[in-house]
Amino acid sequence: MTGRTSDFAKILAAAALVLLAVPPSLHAQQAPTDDPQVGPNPPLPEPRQSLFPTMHLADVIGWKEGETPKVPQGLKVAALATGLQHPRSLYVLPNGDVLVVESKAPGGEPVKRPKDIVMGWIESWVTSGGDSGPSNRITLLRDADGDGVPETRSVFLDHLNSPFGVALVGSDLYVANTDAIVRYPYTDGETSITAAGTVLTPLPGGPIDHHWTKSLVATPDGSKLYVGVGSNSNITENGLQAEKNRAAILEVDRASGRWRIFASGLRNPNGLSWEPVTGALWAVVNERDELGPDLVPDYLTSVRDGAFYGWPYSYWGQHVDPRVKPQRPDLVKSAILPDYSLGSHVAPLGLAFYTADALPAHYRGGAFVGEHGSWNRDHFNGYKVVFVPFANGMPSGKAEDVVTGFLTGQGEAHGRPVGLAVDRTGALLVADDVGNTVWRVTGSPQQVGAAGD
Amino acid sequence: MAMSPALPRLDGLALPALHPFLASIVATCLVSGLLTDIAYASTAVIMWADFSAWVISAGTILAWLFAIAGVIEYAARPWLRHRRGLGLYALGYLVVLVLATFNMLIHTRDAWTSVVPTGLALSIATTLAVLVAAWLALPLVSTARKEVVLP
Repeated sequence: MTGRTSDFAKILAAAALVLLAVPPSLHAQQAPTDDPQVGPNPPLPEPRQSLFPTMHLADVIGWKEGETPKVPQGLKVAALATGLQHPRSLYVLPNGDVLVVESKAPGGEPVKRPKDIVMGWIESWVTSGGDSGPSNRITLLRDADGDGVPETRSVFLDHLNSPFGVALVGSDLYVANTDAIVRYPYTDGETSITAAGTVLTPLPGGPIDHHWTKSLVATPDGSKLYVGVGSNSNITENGLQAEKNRAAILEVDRASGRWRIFASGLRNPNGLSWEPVTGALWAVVNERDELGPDLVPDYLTSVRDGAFYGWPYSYWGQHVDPRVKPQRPDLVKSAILPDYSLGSHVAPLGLAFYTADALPAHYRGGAFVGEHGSWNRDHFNGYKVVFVPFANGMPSGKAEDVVTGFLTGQGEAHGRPVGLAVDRTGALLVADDVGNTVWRVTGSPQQVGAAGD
Repeated sequence: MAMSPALPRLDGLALPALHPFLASIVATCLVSGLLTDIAYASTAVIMWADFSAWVISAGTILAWLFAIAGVIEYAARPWLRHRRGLGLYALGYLVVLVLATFNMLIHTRDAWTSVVPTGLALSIATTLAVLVAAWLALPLVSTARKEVVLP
């Protein structure tokens, strides 16, 4: 069963080539966690383009009753909520209520090449347990006593357009749909909003809308919103016109809705967060595919005002991507290096700095990263939540696995971690969009070795 | 060969080889791919690369289907086997198949390198191979014409 879809891709290529056999390769299970590319200076191999993109997706088998991901000793993990519909991101309201953003890709991305048909076909074989119900809504979980079992669960906002980011400023609740930031009135304690939203500003959306998740964060003073807008292609194959105002983080004035490009060249920026020591804006970024299994590393970086991070013209500084025409040596020269590589194809989509003290002290001040997991790679990479230690506002060591076990030994996926948040009690929350679960990680020195987990 | 001795020429007259006619569709697609590749290489307008991907993929898939049709025809219509130059033509067609298949896969890459330089080079090679194969097919088609006048 492992790698059924990748085998298909190989069969396709092999069948087409008949006499010219593509060398078969065995799919190992999880890659070793000791990835040499994790860190500030990843080794970069030469780019290598194959005859057909390597597609290795994990069959989704979901979580059976009582199954959970794994956490290291000293931590405990349990489901906060199950039976959700593609929970993609999380937001904790001041009163402790947890907003679970359930979201599906907008769909309707036009077929422009035969490749789109073939890749869509392969991907459709491994969607998450089918389209079993309505998504594109926000569910509110209230766990007032903090025991990890919500007392109430309600649909907080419904009929949204592929929502992802959420930010609350005073009584204004902002939801970043894929095509607009929408404002809703919120009063403390509400479990459902029925008021119609007001568009603060449209965002680049369809009809292509390749990278559709719009991450959102408000400045501490509430005057500005920052929103991540991913690129409209892997590497400009939909034309440069389609990339207008994309692959960027926009700074939106909350009063007027006017915006400017704050930083650019960020292929798919997500998890916008404030680093607690310096107050700088940080993000996790998904880099380009189809240059080989170890290119290009996805990264965690501080985001500087006016900076250009390379996409599409170059990666990791000045490494020029040969697939982009016309090239722009002037922009390549100005491209700055990201701060910290997370490894190639790990697909980081969630980021949360840890400032609470419910987890072991080791985690304080560092960053948790939710890695959705690879597809363009024979050996899986990602599919876990890692922890990056920080000191003086910068990463200070090797990333560590925190929540693992999303993949089975046979290369099937129980789930895939996406968005992260820290709840009022200091527990780490993990949205699992194909396991349709929100996981809650708590510190539990007294329960180490206890039966039942 | 359970054919009646008088029939082969008449069969050839009534039913000319089907495969060369089908193969002309393949040739049209693959040669178009060279033209759209040249357009993309000289403009970098992505529409041309998309066109190339479509016509080369269509040409390649049809080429495989018509190769199968040719093999079936060869098996089912024994008199076609006596045409001179058939083996050479089959070889030429196989070269087109292999080049076009590689070219189709190269054209699944994203943006510039789906065409320049490997895709464009393969499109040129494919087009040359198509021309050679078409030339090798001439005796197969013209023999059929001779059969019309000879009896």
